[in-house]
Amino acid sequence: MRRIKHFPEVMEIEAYVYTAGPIGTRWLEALRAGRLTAAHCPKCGRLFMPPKMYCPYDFEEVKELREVEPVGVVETYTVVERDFYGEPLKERKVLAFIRFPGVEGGLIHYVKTDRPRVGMRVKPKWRSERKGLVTDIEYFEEA
Amino acid sequence: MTGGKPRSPRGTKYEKAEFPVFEFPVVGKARYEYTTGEALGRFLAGLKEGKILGTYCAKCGRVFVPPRMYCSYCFREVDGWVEARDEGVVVTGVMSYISATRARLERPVAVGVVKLDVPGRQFDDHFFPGLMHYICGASEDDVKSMRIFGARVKARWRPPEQRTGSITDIECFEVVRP
Amino acid sequence: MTGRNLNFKHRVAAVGAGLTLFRSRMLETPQELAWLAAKQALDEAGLTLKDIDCVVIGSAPDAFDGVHMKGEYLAEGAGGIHKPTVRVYVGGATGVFVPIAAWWHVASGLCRRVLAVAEEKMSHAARPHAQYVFRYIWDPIVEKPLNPNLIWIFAMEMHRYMHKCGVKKEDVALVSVKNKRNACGHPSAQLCMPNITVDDVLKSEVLVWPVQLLDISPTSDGAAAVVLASEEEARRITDTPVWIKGIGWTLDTTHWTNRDLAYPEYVRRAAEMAYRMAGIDNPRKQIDVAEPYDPFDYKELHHMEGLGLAKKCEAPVLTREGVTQRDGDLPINPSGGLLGVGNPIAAAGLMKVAEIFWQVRGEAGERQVKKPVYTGLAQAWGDLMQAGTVVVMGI
Repeated sequence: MRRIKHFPEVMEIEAYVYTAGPIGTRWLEALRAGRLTAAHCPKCGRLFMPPKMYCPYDFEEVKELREVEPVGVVETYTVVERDFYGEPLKERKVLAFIRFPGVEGGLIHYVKTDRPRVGMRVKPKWRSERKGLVTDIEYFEEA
Repeated sequence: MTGGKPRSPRGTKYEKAEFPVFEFPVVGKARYEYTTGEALGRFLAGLKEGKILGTYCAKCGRVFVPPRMYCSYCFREVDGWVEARDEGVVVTGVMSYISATRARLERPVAVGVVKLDVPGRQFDDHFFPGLMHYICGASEDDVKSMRIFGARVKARWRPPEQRTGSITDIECFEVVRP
Repeated sequence: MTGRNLNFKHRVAAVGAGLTLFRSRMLETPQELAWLAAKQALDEAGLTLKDIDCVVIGSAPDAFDGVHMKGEYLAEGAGGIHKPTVRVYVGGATGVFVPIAAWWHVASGLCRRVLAVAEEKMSHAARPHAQYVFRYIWDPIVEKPLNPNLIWIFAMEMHRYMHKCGVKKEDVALVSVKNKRNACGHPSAQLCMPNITVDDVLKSEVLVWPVQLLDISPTSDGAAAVVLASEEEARRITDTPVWIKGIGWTLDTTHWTNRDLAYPEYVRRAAEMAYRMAGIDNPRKQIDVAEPYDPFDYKELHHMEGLGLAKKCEAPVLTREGVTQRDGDLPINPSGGLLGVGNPIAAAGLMKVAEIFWQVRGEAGERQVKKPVYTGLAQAWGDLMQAGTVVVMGI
């Protein structure tokens, strides 16, 4: 007996809508104002970036955002040569995990440099027009 | 009695068009190529030829439409294939006024489950060969009055050159008016 | 320890529960919602995160929230980091399955105090429509090409039930009226409608006859949590632990076009499993309050019969006679159910378990049922009309 072996189908979900949460929204608004902040847990005193409304260690509520000095240290990095579809990029990009002194966590972001290295000190280059997104920082560059 | 639980449940509601929410348009669509397997592969080939095929288990007597290669009740391989008639009775029927995306339809459409006839076999309401499909020739009143229940229906096939090997090779099950 | 045909190490009790608000769109991230519910449950039990040794999470898979490995993503807000954590999902039945899985953890002796959390954000899958993701539920080969809308299945099941039992729409609408009114006593409720009438339901938009707009529960964002503990721990935590007396769960086939839709066989089997364990042989008399799953009004009737709380086709009669009201002989869905409180898929069932927990302890406030409650039941239902989960709890 003959068989029809495959059956094609397309699922088109057009968009997902994500929310940043109450403290996350304020963090983004601070970014829009050109300020880098982290959430502060009143119980253990830790600072968290990105922020969340609870401390994962104490499970206490976190409401406060404190400004962080915008100088970070590259903890690790990678050099990206290809785009999402596997095509070579016109220009290589350096993607790094950047930690800030005294803060738990950090940011994943692009670093504009020819000499990426672990331990490199970096500062954010802010866009002139900001919207309240992580990309309000265009990239980090050597401090 | 006041002060019941949950006490002051928390959460912040928001309206659609407020502050930064992130809408991420999906990059491309998800394209799937499902393998049909032995049972549905042959089922679809059968539809292309204008036939509704099923499998049967000799041990418990069940006939499976849509077909599977195993009897999940006896947990053994099926014993062979049968051809079901392309007609049967409506086991349940409803009238849809909305499309798959929740938009209002211009004209409502009836859908339902059809219990198919298989020559030489009888089925009760507990387990039977059945398919979901559109029901044509049924009015809104037929559905609302429940006259559609138990109505005899026969498949309206697309012309052979338009069939692709899909459940849509049957356009709908048409109510048989005496 | 033995229940009939069952050997387990410890009796298990619920000692705390928590809920967030249920609303159609909530600002909190999924982890934050889970945290809000988990924190409230821990606070009620007088416990801190350090006291919890295992965590069970229930949440829908990726396609709904647009986040991969959702349960694990949620773990931080549910206190699951650096702990044995597991995610379970059975569609809408998840909410009652989460405490069942948590029961295994405690009854086996593996864990002493387990946090069970269920969370859902239906608002994430925004376009084209929150319901679009449900397209994945259909058989891709024999059902999806027909371009179905999810409501078709419910309409078909509802109509078959109405036909077999001779039930009219007015009888079914009574359930929606009862639950949407009951919800007014629930602080988390999304849809309290104190003055809704049968007429309002019958005049609402017809989606797929016989299903109309007010027959359906709203989609919601929300989370719920429950703390389960072993007997020894439970007695130290609270004077009024609520014992998990019986659990049951059953799955039926996805080939729903091959069986009779008028009676939920899988609910009956799940209930039998739970009743056997709880030593119940006359549920109509021995269950004092029940929260069957009600994403649609007819489902409450359908499930009541599957649970053996009403004879086949008797549920609409009991509803019409007021037996299922809060002051009736068998109160059903005193919380307001999904119809009134809301339907965040995985969390809705756990909301029902929390309701039974509070009813047994007499802490349900305005919603407290009139008759004394010793034993209650929560039931959830999920997937393509196939999963049934039941929990019997009481003192």
